Amino acid sequence: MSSSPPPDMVTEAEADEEESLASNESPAAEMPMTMAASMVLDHLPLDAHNALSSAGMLEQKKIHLRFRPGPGTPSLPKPRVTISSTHHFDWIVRYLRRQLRLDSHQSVFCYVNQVFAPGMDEQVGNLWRCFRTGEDLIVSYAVAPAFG
Amino acid sequence: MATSPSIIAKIQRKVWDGSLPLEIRLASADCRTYDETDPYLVNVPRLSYLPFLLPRLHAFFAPNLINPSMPPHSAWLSFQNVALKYHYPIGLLYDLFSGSQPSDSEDDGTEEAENLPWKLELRYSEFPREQLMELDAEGKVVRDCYVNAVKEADVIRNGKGNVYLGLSQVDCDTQWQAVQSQNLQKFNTINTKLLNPPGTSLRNVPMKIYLPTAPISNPGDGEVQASIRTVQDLVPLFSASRQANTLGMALNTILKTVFPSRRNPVLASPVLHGAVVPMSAPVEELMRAAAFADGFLHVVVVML
Repeated sequence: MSSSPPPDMVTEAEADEEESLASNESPAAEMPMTMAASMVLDHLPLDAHNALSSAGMLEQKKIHLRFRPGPGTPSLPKPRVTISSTHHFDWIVRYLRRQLRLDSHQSVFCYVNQVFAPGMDEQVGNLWRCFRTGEDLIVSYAVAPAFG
Repeated sequence: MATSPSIIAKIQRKVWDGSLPLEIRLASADCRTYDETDPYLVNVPRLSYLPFLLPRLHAFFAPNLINPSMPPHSAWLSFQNVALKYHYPIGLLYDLFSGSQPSDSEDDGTEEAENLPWKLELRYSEFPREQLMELDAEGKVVRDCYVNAVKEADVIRNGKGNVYLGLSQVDCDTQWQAVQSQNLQKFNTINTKLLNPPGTSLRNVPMKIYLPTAPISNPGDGEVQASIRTVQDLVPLFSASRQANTLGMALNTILKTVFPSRRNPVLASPVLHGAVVPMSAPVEELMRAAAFADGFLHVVVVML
């Protein structure tokens, strides 16, 4: 799956602890709901509100990610990083593009467990929960289609 | 007691026969006449995908476009200003966004018509890149998305994803053709291979759960828009005590605060294909009878 270049690519030094893109990057947007579907939420009792607010979230806010280069692709200086579990997969693709210094016409292909390319809107925490190896979510990447 | 294969086949047939009437209008911003053009009316299978409709919509609306050179795959659909994701099945989009109440076993089917046909808007300008993936003229993006979802489901079911990767190219093509033409018989010739890998037993049921997240309005904070959060976890076929895992047990494990009971819906109900699912339904039987074409059970949580 090819990815389009981020419109607001900024070359800043990353923070040491958690890998980040640009400081002005907003957190992953959840899928907005329509008025028709959110009407029922206006009349929910408080206990139901509270039940929903944190349901299904990972207990830990950060997860470990390990990058593995595919054939013909350079490895990263820092192959293991810690990132927020609420990022969407497109965050990983943008991060990789920046690390690999790809031009806008170059593609990067990312795979989980060397099998499938997750949707750009999939939450990293969900992928980590289902597909981690040990403590790491392993993301293979290549500049040409590989695997699967 | 396990449900017989013939009952499971009957339910699967009903799921595949499920359809939705749509009424699609061209957005006035893209329409070159002041008067509204006629809407396009179509009945679509719930398991189908919106991109399959674009060539027909384009043929219908092209004479009215301000910019007639726009290709069919540059169009996008929305409901109440929310862009509809191209890689979600149409029935899932309806259950998430239309605001219709799901039917339950006590319904007599007379009330369901109030929101139908589902009225969508077709747009060509201002493609929402933040929310939608862009399509291509050959339909490769849509197919890639589907195939990757099928592979993801395969990894979840057997831990490796090697069953799908072991299929021949002909089998993969057959499966995609069956999805496009909504041919269940053809689909099952391949799906049977995926769900019954020789020599191994399945571990987990592919499931994604869609949760409404309610904005709790604080005074002075302004209105926060409600959104939908997807939760995914591994759902084993069997519990630790080798009992068949039920939907209620799975939801109670993954979303304890929303489903505090394994047996009864207290705050919310699980919905598949527009219908409330009994909490006691074994997840393996649900997978075989009511999975979407990508192999996942896309469960919508509806608050009571």
